[in-house]
Amino acid sequence: MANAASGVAVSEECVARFQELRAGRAHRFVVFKIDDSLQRVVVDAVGPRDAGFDALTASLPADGCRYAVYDHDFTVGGGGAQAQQQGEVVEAPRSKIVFVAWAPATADVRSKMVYASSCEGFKKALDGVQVDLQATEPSELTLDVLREHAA
Amino acid sequence: MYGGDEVSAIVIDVGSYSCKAGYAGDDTPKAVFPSVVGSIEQTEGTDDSKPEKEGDSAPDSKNGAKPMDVDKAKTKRKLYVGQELEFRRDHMEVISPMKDGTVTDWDIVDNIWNHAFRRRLLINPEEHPMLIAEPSTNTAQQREKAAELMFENYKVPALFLAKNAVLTSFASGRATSLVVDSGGGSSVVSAVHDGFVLQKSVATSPVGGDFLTDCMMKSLESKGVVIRPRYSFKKLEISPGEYKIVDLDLPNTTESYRLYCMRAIASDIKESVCRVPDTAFDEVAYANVPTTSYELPDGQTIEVGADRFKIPDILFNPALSQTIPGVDGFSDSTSVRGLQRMVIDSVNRCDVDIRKELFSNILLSGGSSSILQLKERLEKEVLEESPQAARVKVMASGNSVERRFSVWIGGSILASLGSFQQMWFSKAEYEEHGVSYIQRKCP
Repeated sequence: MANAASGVAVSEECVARFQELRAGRAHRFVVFKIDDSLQRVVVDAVGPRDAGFDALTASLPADGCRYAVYDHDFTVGGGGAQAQQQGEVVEAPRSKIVFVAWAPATADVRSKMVYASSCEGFKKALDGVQVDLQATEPSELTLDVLREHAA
Repeated sequence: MYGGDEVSAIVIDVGSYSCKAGYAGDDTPKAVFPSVVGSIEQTEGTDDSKPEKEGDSAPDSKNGAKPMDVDKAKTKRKLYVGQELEFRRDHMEVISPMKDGTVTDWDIVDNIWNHAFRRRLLINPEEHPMLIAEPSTNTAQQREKAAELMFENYKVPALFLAKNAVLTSFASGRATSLVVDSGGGSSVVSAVHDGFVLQKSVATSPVGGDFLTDCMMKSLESKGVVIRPRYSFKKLEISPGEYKIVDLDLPNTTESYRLYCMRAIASDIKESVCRVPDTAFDEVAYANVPTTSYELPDGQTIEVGADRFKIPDILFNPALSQTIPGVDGFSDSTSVRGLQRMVIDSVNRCDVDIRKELFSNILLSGGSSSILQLKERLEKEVLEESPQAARVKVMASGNSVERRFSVWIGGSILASLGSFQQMWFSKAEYEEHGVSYIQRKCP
């Protein structure tokens, strides 16, 4: 448990949706929020498999904090100049589950504090997150930034 | 587990310059007062100094700190906390409980806590859970000492020790960041990762607001400016609107009290006129900068020129202070680094994987972070010394209250959460497991 952790609980639905995304690959992303009574993390939105990263960023409020997980598909190999020289153009599909902590500068200090102090506890409840991303403005949450982190 | 969320918790942050105390859930601390106290040695019974102002006698008689002093027979001193310090008293020394950002005199801290609870917040500490903000540099022994005092002397029902850097980081919405806390007695850089302070990353320097204030004072003195503390003179109206300054002869005023009062003025000059230069300060280039005027309490007006830029630049280049006549050298000058160097060193002591994240989440907090252009300059300096791939970003809350009180505000929100009530280190747990359990409950 992190120092100064909030003790906010995690609803079972969060874990269930996350497992559907991870094991069942049923969703592209899941957005979570802390309920109004500031007691537990609940599911805010679920993105279908064919949704893209833009759909995720669109479902995050401009002035409110959220957590999200995103199943990031990408390929490795193939593109490298060295690999092409040697005639190996093998593209291997990969995927990584990215955890996003969204805390825009315009959100009020109370919600920033609650989200940040609950973050570690919530991440622990989701078993299988591979990449961490914290973002405070839209420029920190683009596909380029995501690729860089997942690499 | 402590289940008393119906009474509000108290949040207290004793910094090296000021003590911030208030009720959890409030936006700002109710009480903010100096962290230094006045002390009069009570060696002889006859030397019971009489307060020379009538206003003093009332607070003295019901001084809640008194019983504590009686207990400490060995020190035999009377301490004056908060507003009591504003009145000059014969033989009163001004002393601080801290050195380089950590507590060295627990008796003073005890008096400060007592003053905050009983005289300022008017609460009975036995009824309220306490959240104490502590510096990242606190040792295990210091944390246990604080917990022991709270449970034994104040009989608090529950306690939590939260790290300054973590509270600042959380209040900005980040679980991972590099916190640059430039306070009064010191500047501290700490990396926070997933809500933990990475102890090996913590870098400290004695260059904080107090040191800059001293530099300002010495520099003005070297230019012939005489700063008259407010207690040392009287203003007589000789004709309407025209005043004459009459110096008072108060031979029993201690040097430390005189300095304390002069520093208060020098500190205000600093806050009013200073601005961090865009690039490293250069004596020649700044020789002819326009001056800014400042009116001292005794009515004389001074002009501050290059010092406006030179003084804050000391944060980045501590050696610059040695060019000011009368400023003491550092006891170990090799370890005193500028802020930008501390940032780089701190990041480099962290795991390679998180360095990029730290560089792009540098948070500026503490009283000295209010100096104009500090954020911009720090960003520029760190950018020059950091690896090319790093995207350096320095942030400070746009709201000066949030910047100055970020630690307290973070603690206030945390301690008021319903879910946090299960996190307290309760009196029952203290009694069952002993004081060392604090290390488990508040890692």
